[in-house]
Parts: sequence; C-alpha cells; structure tokens
Amino acid sequence: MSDLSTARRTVPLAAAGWHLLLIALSLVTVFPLLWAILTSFKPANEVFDLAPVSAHPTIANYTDVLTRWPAGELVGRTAVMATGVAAGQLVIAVLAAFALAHARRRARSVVLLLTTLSLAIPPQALIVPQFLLAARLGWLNTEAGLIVPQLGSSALAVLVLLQHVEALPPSLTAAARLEGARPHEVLWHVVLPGLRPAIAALGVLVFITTWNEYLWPLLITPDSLHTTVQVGLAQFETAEGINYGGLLAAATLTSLPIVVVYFAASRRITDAFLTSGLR
Amino acid sequence: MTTLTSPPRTTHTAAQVELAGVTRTFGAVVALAGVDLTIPAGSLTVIVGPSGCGKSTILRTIAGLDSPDGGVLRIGADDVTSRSPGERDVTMVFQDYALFPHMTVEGNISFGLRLQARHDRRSGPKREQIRTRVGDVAALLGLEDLLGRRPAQLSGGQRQRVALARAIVRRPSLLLLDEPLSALDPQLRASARAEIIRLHRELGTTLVLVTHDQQEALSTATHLVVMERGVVAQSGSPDELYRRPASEFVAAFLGSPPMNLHDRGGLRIGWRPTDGQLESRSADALPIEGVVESCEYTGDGQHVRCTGPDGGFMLVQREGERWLVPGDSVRVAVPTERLHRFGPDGTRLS
Repeated sequence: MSDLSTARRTVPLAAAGWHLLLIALSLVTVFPLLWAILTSFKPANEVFDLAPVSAHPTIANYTDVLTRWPAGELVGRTAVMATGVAAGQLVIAVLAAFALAHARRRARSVVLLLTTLSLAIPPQALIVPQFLLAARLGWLNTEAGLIVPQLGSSALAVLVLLQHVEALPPSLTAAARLEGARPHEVLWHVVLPGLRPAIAALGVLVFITTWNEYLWPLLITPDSLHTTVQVGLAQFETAEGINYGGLLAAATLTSLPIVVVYFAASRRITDAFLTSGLR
Repeated sequence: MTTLTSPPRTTHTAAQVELAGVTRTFGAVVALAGVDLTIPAGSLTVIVGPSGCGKSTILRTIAGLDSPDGGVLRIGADDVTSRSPGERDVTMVFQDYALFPHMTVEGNISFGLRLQARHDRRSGPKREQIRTRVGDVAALLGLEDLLGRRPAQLSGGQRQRVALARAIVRRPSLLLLDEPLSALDPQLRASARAEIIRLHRELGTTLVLVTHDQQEALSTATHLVVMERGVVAQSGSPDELYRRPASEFVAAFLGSPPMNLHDRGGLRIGWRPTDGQLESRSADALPIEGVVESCEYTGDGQHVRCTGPDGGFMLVQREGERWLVPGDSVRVAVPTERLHRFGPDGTRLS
C-alpha cells in the first residue's frame, strides 16, 4: 500500500520538475523577445531604462517605421525570395529523393555521400565565386539573384524527403507500375500524395530559414530598396548611432508574417521533425 | 504493347506462362537456380514451398518487378523477359494489398483503366466504360456500398476484395496473388479461399497464387508447383503430387500430419499417417511396431504420435477405429501399394 502511494506521488513530482525546468527555459527564450517588443513602445530617451514598461508608451516608432522605411517592399521582396527558394528546393528534393530511392545501390550511396558532404561545406566558403557568377549573369538586385543560388543548398531537403520516400511501402510503387503507370505517373499519383505532410513541413522550414537569411541578400542586393527585410533592418544603424526604437518596431512588424506561418503549421513542423529525427 | 493497342476485350483471355532456365541471385544468395516451369493456360496454379525457396521471386519475375539474371520468360506466345511490368497484361494482388491510401475504393479499382485512357485516348477505355466496368467488378465482389470509402476505413477482408477488384477490372490474361490469405484471420481465410476459387472459375483467367501453406496449396490448386531451394521440386495436379511425390522433400512437405519416413536397407520408406492400419493381417503389407507416446484429439479422430525401433511415426485414427492412449503397444501394417520408396539422393524409386 505504501509502495503504491509513493509510486503514485513520484510520477507527478517528476513531471512537475520537468515542467518547471521547461517553463524556466522558455522564459529565458521568450524574455529577449518580450523585452524587444516592450522597448519598441518606448520613446527614444527611455530605451535604456530598466523599467520594463515605459512611463510614456508611444507608437511613434511604428508610425516612423511605416512612413520612412519601405516595409511593404522589403516584406514583399523577402516573401517572394522565401517562397521561391522553398518551392525550388522542394521540387529538387522530391525529384532527387524519388530518383535516389529507385537508383542502384552503388550509385545511390555515392550520391548520398556527396549530398551529405555538401552539408559540411560552410556556405560562406563559396560565397565569393557565387557572387561573381551571379553578378556576371546580371542578377544583382534581382529576384533570380536572390533565389537561384540558394537552391544549391537543397541537401538537407533531399535527405529528409529520401527518408520519407523510403518509408512508403514498396508494394505501392510496384502496384502502380503493374497498373501501367510510367515513372512520372508513379511519382505524381502514388509517391507525392504519400509525401504531403513531409513536404508541407519542409516547405515551412525552408521558408523560415530563407526569410532569416542575411549574408547572401546583403551581397546580391546592394540597392537598399530592393533588398530583404533582414538587410533592411540594418538601415536603422545610422551615423548617429543605432535607432533602437525604430529597429525593434520594424523587427516586430516584419516577424509577424513568419510567426503567422509558424503557428499555422506548428503541428506539422513538429510532426515532421519527430518522424525524421532531425535537430 | 498488347494492352495498349488491342481493342478493348470483353472477356478475359487466359495465357500460358513458361519459364526456361530462369536464374536470379541476390548478392551471395541464390533465389532461383534455373527454374523450368510451365503454367498451363486457364489453370489455378499454386506455387508452394518453405520460406526462402524462391517462390516470391518467381512471382515478382513473372510480374516484371524483378528481372532475372538469365533465362527466358514467356507469357502466351510473347517473350516478355525484358518487358516492363505495365506491358505484360499481368495484374497482381500483393500480400499487404498495396491499396493507394489517398484514393477511394473506386479510385483504387479504376486506377489502371484511367491510366490506359490517358495513355491511349483513341482505343483506351472511355469514361462511361470505366464506370460500368468498375461497377461490374464491384458487384462481382460485393463492394458496391464501399466505393466511396478510403482503404483505412475498410476491414482486412474488404481490403483484400478491393485489391482483387483492382486486379481483375483490367481483365488481365494472367492474375498473380502473393500470399493473399496470410493477412486474414483464420475464420475469414476459408471464405476468402472459396472466393478466389469462384473468381477463377467465373473469369477463366490464368491465376498464379504463392503460399507457404501446403494445406492451402493442396486444397486450392488445379496445378501445384512445389519449390525447394530455388528449383522446382515437382509440378502437376495436387492429387499426383500427394499420391506420387517425386522426392522425399515433396513427400515430407505435402500433407498434414506429414508423411512418416523410415530407413530400411539403405532406402527411405515413406507412408502417409492415414494409410497405416492397426490389427491388419494382410501379408502384402509393411509391419511397423511402436508404443504410443501422445495423442491429439481432432474431433473426428485422433493424431497418434508413436516411437518404435524404426523411429517415430504418426498415425491418424478415425472415429470408430480403435481408441489409443499413451503407453499402448501398436503394430501398424502399411499396404505395399501405399508405400513410397526413395533412393539415397531423395528421388522416388518405382
């Protein structure tokens, strides 16, 4: 009897301990974000005050950002880039994963090895030749310049989708072939519907990662009006110092789309990462 | 090619299948070590053997899902060895049924026909034809009320019938079934087997079924093929294989309980547990002595396990015959015409 009651008590206690730890960790994560949002409502002379909530809260920073900063253009640009890169990487990854899953064993392992190795190369190492090539193609300040070079880093998407293709029952593909389906029809009618959850999750992940990209957009779009949000935020660092209120207001505004995307798909994102064992 | 260009058939034709010297190895494993086999047109051929004997590889080879290292495969008059699966006029029911999970039952059944229509707009089936053919097959298999459902909403038996429907709606000249009953629970198995036999009779197509269950094989087949380690051990009618097994392997594999085998003068002597007679005084019989070790009650009789100077043996006693209990001494007489003799290499001597 005593054994039973202690056992009963320790389980919720352990769970409560875990929850306390997780709550503490999430506070650590959320605090800077919260501080940034609160600061964006402070007038310039209160930015460095320790009081979390301003004595004279103002939306001046926001009106300032919306009137003097090209928020609409930058967000639009970034959305086009992130959508293009996500779509492009998905097309590449679906085709590559389907081909790899049906390739001969040796060819498959060679390509897989190269794909995995490409993950070990830091993108910065290739950025100079990539920039020169893109510039020579006349891609400075263009969508093509923002999107196409970033399609080169599809390795992760390929590896994740390959796992999902191989998790499909092989008899499904065999049945489709026996029914007379040609390879592209097997892909379209049988494999792709089975990959839908994985594709959605991967799409969101690539979208968010690309949205937050800084170095490449900075190089390829030197024109401050034709660049992305992340690069545009740097414009709040002026000769007279950093305009923290404006910067934080702009950052808050421009992260709204990504927050919306994440919450709309958070279930799928966690599912996909749990099943593919990533990160 | 034939499926795509010939005018739409209204009935099934039955194709003969011929394998000549077909070999296949997977790494160091020899799956098929030169298979010579003829599957008669219109037969219900059952390929049976222990696991790893190559029976599934044969089925996949006939379907075109696996290509042989050597040998020739003919379906009907055509050499199809290097033809792709979709061009062989062959359909298959997979062990796990392989239903497309995102399509309805109707979508699953009509999948192949819709592809045909798309590939060949002129002589492929028209939308109306597809609908009537799906309707006919659904009626044949009692699936009319399930056409709008998805595979996840079906029971095991229903899934199997959908897989069968998908396989026969294209009126193939050859229908392959890979362990079609193994995923069903025992109560369903008997009715599903009867269903397959009925379908074969009504369609008149050639049907090839693979199983590891020798009882299922004996009771279903019109033509039986026993495989052993990558080669055909024997093929023929079930009765022929049961009555005159060509080798000790076939003799021991078919029949339940299995054949009793004894060493006698350098030969192997076999007899079926049902062929031994107690208290027989016939002179033209082989006497076997032993002591009853255990008995299994089967409802209409008992299976009796005995040990004796010739080794262990099984005896089937029917209701009304002498009732045995452990410890009884028995003297069994096996009529000479019911004895099977095998040489030292396991082949039958007559």
